[in-house]
Amino acid sequence: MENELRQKAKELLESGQVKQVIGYEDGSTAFKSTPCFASSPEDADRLVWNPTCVNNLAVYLPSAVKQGKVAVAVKPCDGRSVVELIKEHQINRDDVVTMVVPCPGVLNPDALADIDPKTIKNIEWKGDGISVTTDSGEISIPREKAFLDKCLSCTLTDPAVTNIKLGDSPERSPLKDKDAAIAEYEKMSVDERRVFWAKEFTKCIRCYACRQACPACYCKECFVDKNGQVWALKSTDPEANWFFHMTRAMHLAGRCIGCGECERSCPMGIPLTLIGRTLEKDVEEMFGSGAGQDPDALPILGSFDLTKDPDPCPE
Amino acid sequence: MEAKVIAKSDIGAWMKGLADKCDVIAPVKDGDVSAFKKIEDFGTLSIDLPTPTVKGLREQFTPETETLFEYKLTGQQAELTSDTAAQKDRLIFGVRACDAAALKYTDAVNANCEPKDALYFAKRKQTTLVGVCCTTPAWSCFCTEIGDFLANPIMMDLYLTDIGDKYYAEALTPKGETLIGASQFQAATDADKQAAESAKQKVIAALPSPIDHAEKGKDFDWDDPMFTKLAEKCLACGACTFLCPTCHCFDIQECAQGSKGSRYRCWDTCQFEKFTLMGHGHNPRPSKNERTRQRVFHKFKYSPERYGILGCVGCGRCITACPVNIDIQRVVHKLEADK
Amino acid sequence: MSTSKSDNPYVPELAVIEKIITETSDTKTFRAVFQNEALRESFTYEPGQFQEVSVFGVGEATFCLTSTPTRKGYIEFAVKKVGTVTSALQDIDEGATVGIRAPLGNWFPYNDFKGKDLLFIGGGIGMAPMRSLLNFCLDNRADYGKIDIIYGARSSGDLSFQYEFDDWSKSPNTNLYLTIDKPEDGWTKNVGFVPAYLMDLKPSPENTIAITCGPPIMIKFVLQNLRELGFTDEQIWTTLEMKMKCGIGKCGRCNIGHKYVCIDGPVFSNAQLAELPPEY
Repeated sequence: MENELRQKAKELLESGQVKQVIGYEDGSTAFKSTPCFASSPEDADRLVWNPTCVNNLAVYLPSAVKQGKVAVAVKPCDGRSVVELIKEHQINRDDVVTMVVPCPGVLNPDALADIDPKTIKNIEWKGDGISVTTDSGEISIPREKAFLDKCLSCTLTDPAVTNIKLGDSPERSPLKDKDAAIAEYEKMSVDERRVFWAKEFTKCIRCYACRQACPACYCKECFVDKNGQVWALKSTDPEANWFFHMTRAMHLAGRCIGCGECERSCPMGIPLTLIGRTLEKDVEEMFGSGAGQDPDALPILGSFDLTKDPDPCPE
Repeated sequence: MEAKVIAKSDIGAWMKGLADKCDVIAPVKDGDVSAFKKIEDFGTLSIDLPTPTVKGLREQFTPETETLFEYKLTGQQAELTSDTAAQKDRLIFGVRACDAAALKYTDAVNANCEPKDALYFAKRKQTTLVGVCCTTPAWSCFCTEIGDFLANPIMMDLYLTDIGDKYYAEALTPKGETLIGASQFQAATDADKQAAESAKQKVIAALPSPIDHAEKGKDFDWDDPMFTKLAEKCLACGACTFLCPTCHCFDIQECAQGSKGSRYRCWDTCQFEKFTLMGHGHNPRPSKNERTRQRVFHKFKYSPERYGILGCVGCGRCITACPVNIDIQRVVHKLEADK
Repeated sequence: MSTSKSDNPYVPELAVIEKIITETSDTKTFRAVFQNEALRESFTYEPGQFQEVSVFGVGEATFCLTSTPTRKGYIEFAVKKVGTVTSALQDIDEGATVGIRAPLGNWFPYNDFKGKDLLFIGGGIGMAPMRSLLNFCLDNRADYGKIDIIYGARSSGDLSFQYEFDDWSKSPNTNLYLTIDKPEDGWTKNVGFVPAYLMDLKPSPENTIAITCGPPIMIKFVLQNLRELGFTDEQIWTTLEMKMKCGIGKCGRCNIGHKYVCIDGPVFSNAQLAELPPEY
């Protein structure tokens, strides 16, 4: 598969069809890969595809397409971000070539908790789960432990913007219900939820890793960074943190495809995907459609129709 | 200075005794993250020593958000108040050698020219630091490449090394000597001393060899093409700098509430575009190229030039935190090879 | 409870805006007097130093002291409307209270300039940071040789400190050369950009110190032309503007290489700048 990816990338670069290919390459340690920006056929030899390829590379597209047409390796989930970016006119459909990689699931770092990280030499998919090669031999980790939660409940097929399909989609049925993670949360009363989030948001250091890693957070200037009209304080007091996260969440309603990059990037371990998923569930129930499906659809918050929708202003 | 031992089972009692005189702060695990917290209940003491704290000591001396003063406006008049009420003395337990070493750097920064930062030094003066030698370094740790403070700790009062069911406790300052005067400490034997020494050496052997980064930093190439590569993938978040124990940059902001309000400072980072953006639109570091370079150069070139101290202690936090795997150790090695 | 400055370097001194002078359509000069009478007497500074000015409820911003320490009892600063604090300052009235942290930064080495001819080259608001040194030198006229002032702006309405032009040009052995970008009815002085006017005037580098400040594009060509005229980097001085917050070398944003503009500057000679990376 990796060879197929490299070959395709090479062809695209050699023929001049794209200016660059965004994919993954080996990171500074065997259990991490890092985004790779290949702009020559030789660069394409560095591309890899393995369980450590967790990043959602769609985040780079709005700025990358400014230099010319871009090919990007996307997992089926990440492909939904590309759909959103097209739908929201952040990139033109013609400026991006999606290379959809077959994804059995990507690495949950907790899976390696019992292994001395310095001994890890390689991680690859094997059977249902992953195989970790260490100095002292091979360790198999089963699917339910090996992959991120989002992968265990994944039922996604190829995204609507698939250009190149690499390999065959793996056969799998979800191990978990998509909403298992929020089921517990939804049992909480409003007051309990308030207490829960107050505690979580106290941890926030306002590094904005959540926002920066989010393909849907492409605003040229985030509301929290404005300094003429101050919408949100830069201070980390609980109210200000709350305001930042909740406003950001509202901006993402109907647009979050649930890639989980916000939570993965958060150094403080704030369970941000809970917010995203909860909002998405509401949007699905109220509007009947989710984010990242149809590039020609109107964004949910841009679809208000005065002739059909009820008057939103209460009497 | 003197060294003693203390049984691990006596740590709780010892700390409870200290808590009468000062706040006792120690790393506590909360969910997946370990953080320094004030210990309230010594009965169910659950100190998390194996996992490095996510944030280091920065917030203990420069809180993420710190009020500088408050103001009240009446017509055209203004009245300022600044609460400098003395805080309680405190003892921070479980400090890593790297995090303590970072204080040598932040002390230099905050003493840099008059006026010194009195807010920072007030907290420094009120704090006693009890360090603990790492026994299980993280995969990203490279402190031994930067300095020998894991074996020869600096900027702390007492240093504990795990030797089985007890800690070997080396007093490094008069404050430390007073601490080991407590009843829970016993005289150390030669065997204890040797056990501590070999425990330290075992950790050090697993970590990288020293490199004279300050010397090598002098020749970094300003135009190194690597920064373009880093800038491509860098997401421009502040995870690296906000978790860094030497990073100290801050913003000053206003919290206005009608005719009164406060001015506060909060952590800021060279990785944010607005950090250097001027009112009229000029930005001396306009792109991620300049900003990724600033982080690395500040630590490995400018800081040795200005303070004679590296701005990195090799704690590896920025490496583990980076969502796109920018690894400063690799970056610096590459810069040193490229020159 | 009030705190003295030595306890907390971020607490400003209170000052009252005694006078506001409208310089141009977007620039005003503010004259401030410290509330603390003892401080009003004792406060001193050097030409070229700067300050942090607080508008309570809005924030703090960096301005050069444009007044000269030879004229006691007040300080002045000029504000061009560009951002949040500068806009708020445009809206305040005489009698308003502001906060001031000053003096900050280094200053022009005026003792080293003694006995030399001085050439001031300013563009637009760039005249503001040089005005302190200029008036200081005029107040100590005997210490310096010939003083030439080349000052230009987009239009005559964009020239600041017009009320001082007479004092400047009437001072002995002092020449004021004004220029504007485009011709205007009634304008009798030079028309053209500052760097070009400099070449027309051809000042001699002999025993002369050039001090320049203005928009980056003007500075770029002024430096080029000064070199062409034979000025060495040691003879050329400027004052830099950078984003600042603390003003005391702690907050980390105004560095050029290992130098902080807030404490190692804002005044630099071209020779000093040549040692630093090109990041300002």
